[in-house]
Amino acid sequence: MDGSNAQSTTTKTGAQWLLHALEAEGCDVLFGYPGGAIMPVYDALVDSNIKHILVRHEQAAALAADGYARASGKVGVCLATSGPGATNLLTGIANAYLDSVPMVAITGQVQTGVMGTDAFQEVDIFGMSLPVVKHSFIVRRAEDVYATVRNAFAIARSGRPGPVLIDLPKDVATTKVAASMATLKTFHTTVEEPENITQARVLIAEAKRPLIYVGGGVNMGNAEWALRSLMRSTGLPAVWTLKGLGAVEADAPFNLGMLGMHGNPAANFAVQDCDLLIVAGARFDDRATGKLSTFAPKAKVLHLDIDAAEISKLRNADVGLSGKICENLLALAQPSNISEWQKKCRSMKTLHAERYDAPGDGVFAPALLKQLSEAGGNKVIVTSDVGQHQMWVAQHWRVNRTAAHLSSGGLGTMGYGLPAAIGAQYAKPNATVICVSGDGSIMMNIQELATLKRYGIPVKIVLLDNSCLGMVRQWQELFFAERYSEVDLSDNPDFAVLANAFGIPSFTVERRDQVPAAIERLLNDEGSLFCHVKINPRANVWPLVPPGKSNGEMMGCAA
Amino acid sequence: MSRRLEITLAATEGALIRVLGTVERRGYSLSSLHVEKDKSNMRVSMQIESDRDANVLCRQLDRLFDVQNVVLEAEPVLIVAPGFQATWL
Repeated sequence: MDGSNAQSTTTKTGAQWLLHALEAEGCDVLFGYPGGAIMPVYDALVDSNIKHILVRHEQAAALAADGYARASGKVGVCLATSGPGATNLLTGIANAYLDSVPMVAITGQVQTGVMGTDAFQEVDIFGMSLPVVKHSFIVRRAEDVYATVRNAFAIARSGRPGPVLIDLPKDVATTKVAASMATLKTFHTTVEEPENITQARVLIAEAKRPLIYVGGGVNMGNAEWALRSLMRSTGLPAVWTLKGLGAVEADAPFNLGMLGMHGNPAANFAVQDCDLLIVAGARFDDRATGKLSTFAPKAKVLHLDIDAAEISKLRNADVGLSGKICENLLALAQPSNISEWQKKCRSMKTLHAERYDAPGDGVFAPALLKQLSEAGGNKVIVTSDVGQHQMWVAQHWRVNRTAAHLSSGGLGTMGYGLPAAIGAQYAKPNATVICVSGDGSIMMNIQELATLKRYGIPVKIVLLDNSCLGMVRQWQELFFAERYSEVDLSDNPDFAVLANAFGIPSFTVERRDQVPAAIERLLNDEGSLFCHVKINPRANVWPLVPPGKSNGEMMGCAA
Repeated sequence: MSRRLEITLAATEGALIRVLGTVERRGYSLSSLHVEKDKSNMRVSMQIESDRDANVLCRQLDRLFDVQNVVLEAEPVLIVAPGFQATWL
């Protein structure tokens, strides 16, 4: 701990101390929605330099803070009132927890004197959120507000990042105090034991078929450059998870693609065949591993993760390194002699390269996404919602930075894409932020079109509309004997008209020959734009590892 | 497998329930629990049962912000001396 103190000769209310602490943390934007118990903070906001973005549903505030955090690398902040305001934040907080996103969520609370009495708009948000926060606080004294906020930021960004909740009772927010003493925490990262590094290097030296399995922890540890350096110097091939997309350069010779349920066959076959799996900031999620007991069956495991609790959680690690991933990746560099393995990986990559020559005149979503990402290049940040379109983005979007691809990985939150895009646009005002969504997902937070309009946020929306809940429909087709249950959305609203009603310009694409002009508009029009793309309702995502099966048993690919 | 844990944590609001919630949510069940509190700390002794590795739980508890120390008592060892009945130590 250090002894930094915040002292004031003038008195401030708890709400003012809260904003003072946010400013001290460099917070420049808040996403929120006012209400009764949080009104003192909104009153103090009138005199603050912090920009507040009024969303139209608290869930969008949390998801926008998440998008802001992922795109900027800073802590995202959201704000809501007690009761329903707080519970509406919960999905976004859980989203941040499962994807390890640094966030501070601030909720108003009823006055301390009536807490525990079922007062109006009282819920125990502290208790409700316990399993989905990294830490949480109820601030019971105005004197503690400043230190609590500062510590919440420190906790959110330290080690493995995550969301921290601050519950602020209304009377604490209105109480004036002369000084708010801060006892600021500092955190120390594990320093790796040299013998662990030595053991890890021996594993790599002895391996004939080593493979790197890249997860979101590489980006969060600012280690993309270290990973690329290691890959260049050793020639090690790599596969990646949904959250690892972009950590390996799209054109890197031994980038074998995404592994897992909708992974590239070259990636899945390489995992099944490797004799050493170097796990870099990944956590053996079931969408990546398929049937765990048959995942990488021939491999020893070298696991790098800043969170020691992930090492040997689901798969025993022969060597675990829980220090800083950047330093540890660099420490693994050594000459390798794996030319036979490289040759095999290269031939698998060629054999299983994605194809874009689909027959017909209809829009082929994978080709549209590939062309849009290539035309947009590094100026684009893409967010996606959840479903078939999310997997097409993961498979076909060309991206060279993890922070340029924002997707709800762990929680799989439909409705993530649009608010995350709003957050990303505030994090990177000069970027072209594109939200790729589906006709199911977009309706989960469609109200945020009003936020785009209000603030003139130039987010572009590409809605891939197949008139159904496509991923569920695909599973019902394949695994439930085509017994379609509650997946038909053929009575969707006219999305182009709907966007116009919110004041957002829109257009519709129905044929493949309209795609180039659509891409041109998406990348060059100023302001927000809604591109409604009608696609084949029967289109499926391939390949697919059936539930409970090994990653080696993919449907929809050559053996 | 039944194992015994000794946990020291700061006696802050929610600290104990955070620990107990982690134990149950992560797939371990409590068979006994003892808590002692002094001015600023709590000392929690618990017996847990699970098919899952208790070392993983220890690391999950250790990363909680209020937890200061987690000690997992040594695993019982089965001793079988020739001609004698098996004894758990």
